[in-house]
Amino acid sequence: MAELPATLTGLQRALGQRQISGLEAIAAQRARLDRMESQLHCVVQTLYDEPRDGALAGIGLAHKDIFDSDDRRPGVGHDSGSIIRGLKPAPVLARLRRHGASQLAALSMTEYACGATGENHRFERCVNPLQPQAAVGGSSSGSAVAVASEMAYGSLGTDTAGSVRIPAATCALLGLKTTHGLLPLHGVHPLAPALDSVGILTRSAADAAVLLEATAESELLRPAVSEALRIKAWIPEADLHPSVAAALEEFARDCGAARRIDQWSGHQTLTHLAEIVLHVEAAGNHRNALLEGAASPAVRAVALPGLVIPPDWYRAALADRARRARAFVDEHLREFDIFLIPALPHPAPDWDIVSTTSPDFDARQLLALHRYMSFVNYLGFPSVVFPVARDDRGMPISVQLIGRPFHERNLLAFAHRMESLRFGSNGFTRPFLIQG
Amino acid sequence: MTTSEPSTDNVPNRNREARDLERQRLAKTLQRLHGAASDAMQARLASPHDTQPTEFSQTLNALSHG
Repeated sequence: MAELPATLTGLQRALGQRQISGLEAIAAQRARLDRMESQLHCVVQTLYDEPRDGALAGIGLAHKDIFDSDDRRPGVGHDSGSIIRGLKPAPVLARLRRHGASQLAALSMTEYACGATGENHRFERCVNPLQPQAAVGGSSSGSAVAVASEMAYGSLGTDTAGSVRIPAATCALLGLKTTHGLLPLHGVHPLAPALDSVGILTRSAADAAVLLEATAESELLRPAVSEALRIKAWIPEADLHPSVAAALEEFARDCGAARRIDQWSGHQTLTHLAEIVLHVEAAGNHRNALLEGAASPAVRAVALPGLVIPPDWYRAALADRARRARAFVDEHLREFDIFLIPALPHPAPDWDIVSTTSPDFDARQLLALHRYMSFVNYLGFPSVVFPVARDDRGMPISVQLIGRPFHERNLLAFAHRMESLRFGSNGFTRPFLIQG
Repeated sequence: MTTSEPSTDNVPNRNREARDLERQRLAKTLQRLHGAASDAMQARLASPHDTQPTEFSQTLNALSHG
């Protein structure tokens, strides 16, 4: 076939109809990855595994370089990984392989997952395939670049304070942060274990659903409801760029949000609690490097505050977590299935604004990338980000939908409906690439 | 007439020693501050992805059914 389909499910159909064989599909994907890597710089190491049978045979995936794989310890954005004979793959990767998927590459990331962009001075800066001057969100930056540029059909990343959702929002992708504990974290390098979760980046909601079903503990996943989903929207207009506020207003109207609020006082408290846990656990992980003065600026920015946060604050933040999760459901998800909120408060920024070494660096813009993200990790709930509009430069404006724990199927079913209505059958991303 | 001898004092070395001392002092301070937190943290990080159900994971499970 002349061109590979835009989506994973489209390729599955083509394979099922024998328009292309699994081996041919993988060969074509490897050729594309090799061709594009020299332009986009998102690959840490190209990987090869034996073709296998299964529902995902012929599907090429590439993952953030944070997962153990066969005989390979990941570099976690610090180096290029190392050979460890006998090392077993992380269970999430093993599950994908059992379904026949091929892992094409390990992908670049922010050092030790510490950062909201893909900035990492140990590696060449990865390039946003939508617009080269646009920043790539982090820390799963290589995942976003590889999937948006169609080098891979999907990617697993990790999300501790937005590290799947922020890169997805900057590259017109769907980014799914799963419920804490739904996907196993064994063999995944930790940043803040209480907040870490494995996430999925794809170009369409149906693709994410396929990867979710292949990797999740299926007995935990709740069935999707068949009736119309009830939506509550929080659109804090005063905090949002006018183009983001307008896009969210229009989307909330179009999807029939039954209730809309612009004030929610709980957000700031939950964000502070998330920050306490993040900083203290990151400090525990990087304690020796911090005390020896060997930690990089990216690691210091996330972990150093954790050394001086009073231990009681950390213990209290964890002790209060279950109560806060119940209160959040009572306030927002008892009468509603989905809580719709912003993904980013501003349009996706350019590198010169959020790169810490740029003369035009604006720390507020960098920190703003996390603003609507980290509290979701504290709550442990699932959330999905996907584009709904374009800003005046043609870059994506995304929404974020939060659901009750283990209700990922509802979120993805809703995202699929919106994707079909707004973008047709080729996924979210191609319209942005064509325009860009 | 006297001429001043070139100083034998090595300024870069002196600066480095001062920095090292400062770093050691800071490290001790941080270790003292962090000590109490680190016992619980180190235990947690020793098995970061413990599969034992916690109160929080049980809460998430309960909320999924609610």
